[in-house]
Amino acid sequence: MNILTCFKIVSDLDLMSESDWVVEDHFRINTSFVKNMINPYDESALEITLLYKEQAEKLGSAVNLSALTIGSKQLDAYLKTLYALRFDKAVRIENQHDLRFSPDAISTVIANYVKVIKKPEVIILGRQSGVGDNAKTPLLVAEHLGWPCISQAVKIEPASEGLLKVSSMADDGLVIETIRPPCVLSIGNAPNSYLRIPTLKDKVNYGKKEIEVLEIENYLNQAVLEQPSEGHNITGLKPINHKRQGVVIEGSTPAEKAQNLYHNYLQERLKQL
Amino acid sequence: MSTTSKTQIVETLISILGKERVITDEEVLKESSVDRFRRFEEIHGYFTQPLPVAVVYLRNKNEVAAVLKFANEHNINLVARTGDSATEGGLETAVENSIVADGSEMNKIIKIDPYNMQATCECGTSLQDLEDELREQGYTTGHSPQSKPLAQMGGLVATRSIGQFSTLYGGIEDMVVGLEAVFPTGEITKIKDVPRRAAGPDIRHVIIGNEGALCYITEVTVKIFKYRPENNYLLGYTLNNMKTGFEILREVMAEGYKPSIARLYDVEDGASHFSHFAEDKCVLILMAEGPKPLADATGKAMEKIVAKYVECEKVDPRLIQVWFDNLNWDVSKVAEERTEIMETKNISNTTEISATWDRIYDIYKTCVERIRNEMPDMTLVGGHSSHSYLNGTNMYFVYNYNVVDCNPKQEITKYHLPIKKIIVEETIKAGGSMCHHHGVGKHRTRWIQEEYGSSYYILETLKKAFDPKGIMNKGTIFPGE
Amino acid sequence: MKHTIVLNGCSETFLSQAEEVNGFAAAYLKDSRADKTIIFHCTDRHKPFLIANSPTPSTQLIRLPRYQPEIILRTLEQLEASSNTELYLFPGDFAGSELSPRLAYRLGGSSLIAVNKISRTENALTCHKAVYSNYMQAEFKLSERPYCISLAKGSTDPLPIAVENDVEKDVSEIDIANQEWSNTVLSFKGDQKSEPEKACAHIVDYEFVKKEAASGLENANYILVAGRGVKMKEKVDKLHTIAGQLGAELGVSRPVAMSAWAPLNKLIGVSGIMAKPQICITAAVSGAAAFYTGIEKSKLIIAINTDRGAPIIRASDLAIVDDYEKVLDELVQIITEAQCKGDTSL
Ligand SMILES: Cc1cc2nc3c(=O)[nH]c(=O)nc-3n(C[C@H](O)[C@H](O)[C@H](O)COP(=O)(O)OP(=O)(O)OC[C@H]3O[C@@H](n4cnc5c(N)ncnc54)[C@H](O)[C@@H]3O)c2cc1C
Ligand SMILES: Cc1cc2nc3c(=O)[nH]c(=O)nc-3n(C[C@H](O)[C@H](O)[C@H](O)COP(=O)(O)OP(=O)(O)OC[C@H]3O[C@@H](n4cnc5c(N)ncnc54)[C@H](O)[C@@H]3O)c2cc1C
Repeated sequence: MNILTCFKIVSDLDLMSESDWVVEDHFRINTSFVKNMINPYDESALEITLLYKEQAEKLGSAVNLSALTIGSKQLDAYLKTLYALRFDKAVRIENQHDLRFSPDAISTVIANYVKVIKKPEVIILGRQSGVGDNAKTPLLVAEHLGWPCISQAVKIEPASEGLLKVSSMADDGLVIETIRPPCVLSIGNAPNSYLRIPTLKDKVNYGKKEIEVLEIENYLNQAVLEQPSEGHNITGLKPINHKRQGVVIEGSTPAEKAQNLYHNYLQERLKQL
Repeated sequence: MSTTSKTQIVETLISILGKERVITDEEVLKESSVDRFRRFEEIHGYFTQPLPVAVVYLRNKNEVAAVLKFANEHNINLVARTGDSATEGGLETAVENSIVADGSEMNKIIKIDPYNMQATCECGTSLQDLEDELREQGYTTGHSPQSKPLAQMGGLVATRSIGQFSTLYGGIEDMVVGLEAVFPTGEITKIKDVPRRAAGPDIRHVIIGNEGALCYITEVTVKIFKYRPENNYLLGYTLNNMKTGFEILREVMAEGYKPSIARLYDVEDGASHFSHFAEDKCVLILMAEGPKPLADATGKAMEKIVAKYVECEKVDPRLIQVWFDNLNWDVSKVAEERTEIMETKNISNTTEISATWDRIYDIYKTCVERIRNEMPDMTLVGGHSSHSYLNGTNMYFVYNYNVVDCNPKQEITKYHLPIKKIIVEETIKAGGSMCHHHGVGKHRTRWIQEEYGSSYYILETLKKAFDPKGIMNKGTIFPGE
Repeated sequence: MKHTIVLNGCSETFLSQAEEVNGFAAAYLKDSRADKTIIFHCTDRHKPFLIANSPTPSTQLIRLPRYQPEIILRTLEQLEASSNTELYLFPGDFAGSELSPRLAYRLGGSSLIAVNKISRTENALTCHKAVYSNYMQAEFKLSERPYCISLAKGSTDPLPIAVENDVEKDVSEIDIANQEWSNTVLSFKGDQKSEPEKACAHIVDYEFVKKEAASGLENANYILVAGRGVKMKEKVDKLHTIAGQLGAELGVSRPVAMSAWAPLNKLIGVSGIMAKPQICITAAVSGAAAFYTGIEKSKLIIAINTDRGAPIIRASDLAIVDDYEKVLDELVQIITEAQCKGDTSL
């Protein structure tokens, strides 16, 4: 089975300080000063992919893994890490355009890439990433390809004869389906899916493979790139204020603080509950 | 060892301190039997050390004296503790029936004395609290270990700790002007705060760095400095070779400049901090601070020195500033690390050494190569230099590995100790010091005699003199039986 | 403007979906004409309930064997191909956020997920939503009709459906479940494969495990939230007990749920539950925006954190800077004593 897992690198926004949230021209925000990370849902997607491969191979079926990201050369370090984790192919589609709020452009690129290479039967993506918070990319990849899509997937296991057993969260329960690829799987809140860390030996032995770098222009026409027409355009951006009073309850011991909290603030309110 | 029964010990402690402050809850005892050195076992729910009989919370020097005296009279091992951030096993209760003597409730800032530029506080004062208080008044201790939000003054003095601005302000030993400490007999001793004296050997150094193996520190007076962050002159560079980096650090020091920060990261260690702007590069960071004319002059002069090395490329100082603002380890990072270790079975450990300029690069290179070649399952081997001196610098080795195919209890013997062994042995062989700032703890004691050579006589005599019964933190600094 | 609401009647959450969308429509669609509500459902038994709680006078019921996005989309696509509805409104749950962009794609419209406010301008729909992991609020203009939007969970107050006895509800029905259904595989009678059947031909086996009783967090009056700072599963269990002693429901932050220290239905925040209690106590939570959005509607937020500089401190009404465990142990003791003393108010 051929699996393509797509991931995005984002700034760790929890590290931004209040004064860092400055809106610049074109509604840009400079987040380049804080560390990057793999978008948490994509991290889960990658680990789930690796877990799937391990299980399938135990059952004797071959799995070929590709990883795809869209962005600049800076991302190659992550792709090398994925090689070291035994992805078979790591692809970066070079992009310098602002596609933060353009899930349609991104999904078109992914779908076109898939149409060209004709390979993967399964595409795995995280459901949402924390800059655009668009939460549309996997769904639109499925639409562009005309494939079914399972969203909120939390577990993928091999089943017999090239089938997949996918567990996904529904609003009132858990769905467990056995499905026949092709399909798009959108990963939701999947517990215990931190991405494993490759050893230096694996980095030396496998991490040096060449990353396939492709030009985004080959997958999306130039006009769309310059002016992504998503049927929606961003027209405003401002920080959300979460401030409250933040009264710090004094006391020299935890007991004193708890007493103070209870007698001065909680007791009355609890009565009203 | 002690023939006193657990119950007797607990009863006596209660009679001295009251019930409230003698904790025998098993969970607490378990957590108190280890420090960060054994966190892999601990996170997986294994506690391999003998559990202490009790954790006691001490409130003043007289209580400290009473508990020490009792322990000494009955041969009971006593482990001093304040911030609980020790990394080298210093807090492990290595023998049965130990008492963990916690000083974190002695947390009063006794006096801030701006005229004499000094501040006095109890041993349990957290450095963060002291520093916050000082900064509000326009001062700083100049002490900024990465564990600032966790560590407390007693522990910081007891381990000879050092901070990120050490190249200007020095290590804790350069900051301490006066001390109060209690010895096993219950003797309370106070070393007065004076600018300097030539009245015999400097006995502060018997106490600073004793790791709870000689005495219990109850009070500390440190220097304070004017706090003027607005004058900070921050410089960041990427470069290709550690060797060049060491040369630059040496030149800055040899020319007589006093940066507050002088740090050099290798590619591997740097990747975990700087990959968003310095891929496959070493990173050099220098900062000048102090009065504006001085900071500017120092900053510019250092810039000039670095400019001579063509491989250095300057980076936006804001990148360095944001990194620095997130460098310290608070409880939140500790919690985050815990989950990551649990989920990935990957753990990061460190060993810090020092050596003269002519040796440091070779030690660095040999250790990194040996660990990479000889140890299995490594995921990162690298390090940084973060404290420079006129005659040399330190190296802080960072090594991460996946713990695989073994019981969590074997993590230490399968990975951590063999790696430490490589670093310590290579360093001692090259004439460096095996401990730069975390203290000896309990896992580097096997090399302590080699570390000291003929001068071990002096060290050993201190133990015999001040703790003849060996009740103070058994197995720390001095090898156990 | 003319709008249509789409709800998932197969789910037990139907009523909250209906009230959520109803509240949103009351707040932002006063001048719009409600065309109809399309409700997918699985059993005839629920029909009266669904019709009674349809937010609009006109209701289109579509019966199908189970909630199956591929069938629903195929059906909507055909049904609405020639409709002149400008706006499709979906609830903010999993179903709503997966259906809205896919329907927009199929109808050639535009979509946005997790919208918290809209206004109408000439030739466009202005939508507001949180971006940058809830640190920023953005405004978007949607220009392609139909606009298919799903709501930001918990952003507007739910509004119960008004019972208007004199108004005759206009109901139309389609049944695409009138064939024979086996429990697992959707197969239809007849030689010709039907559209719905084709739409889920990829499914070989299907099983649905109903959620254990809903956690009640959404509607709880008093919640206690455990963050990553509690450090281990055992402590989360202990907090569960403490919550019980305090009379509160337990919720958790994402890292706690992702480490499987607590079930996912306890997750608070944009990825989980949006709570709106009278009192919310957070223990060892740092207060990242993606989390905070989930407690923003609390009347009173009390944060317990050892770090005075943690963002949650500034975002709370009351804060205790100390170890959460010590503080809560004390609090439980105080409250238990109060109860013993006969303070029956608790
Ligand atoms: C994330 C992290 C980063 C760190 N960064 C640095 C750094 O930058 N620089 C640095 O120097 N260290 C660093 N450390 C190590 C550690 O923080 C220091 O050793 C610190 O000085 C310990 O202080 P503490 O109050 O936590 O002491 P504890 O951990 O409580 O004790 C440390 C040792 O001192 C003894 N001791 C404690 N209190 C007393 C007392 N009152 N009297 C006598 N003995 C006592 C203990 O028995 C033990 O042997 C770091 C640790 C961590 C976890
Ligand atoms: C797309 C996206 C969606 C997300 N959705 C959600 C979501 O729905 N819900 C959510 O929660 N997160 C969500 N997140 C993650 C979010 O950004 C944060 O990472 C997360 O909320 C942090 O959880 P925390 O506060 O529990 O942990 P941390 O940030 O690690 O904070 C732990 C806190 O505990 C304190 N602490 C430690 N020990 C103690 C002690 N003994 N006593 C008191 N305090 C202590 C520390 O000071 C610290 O502040 C999302 C992220 C992304 C990118």
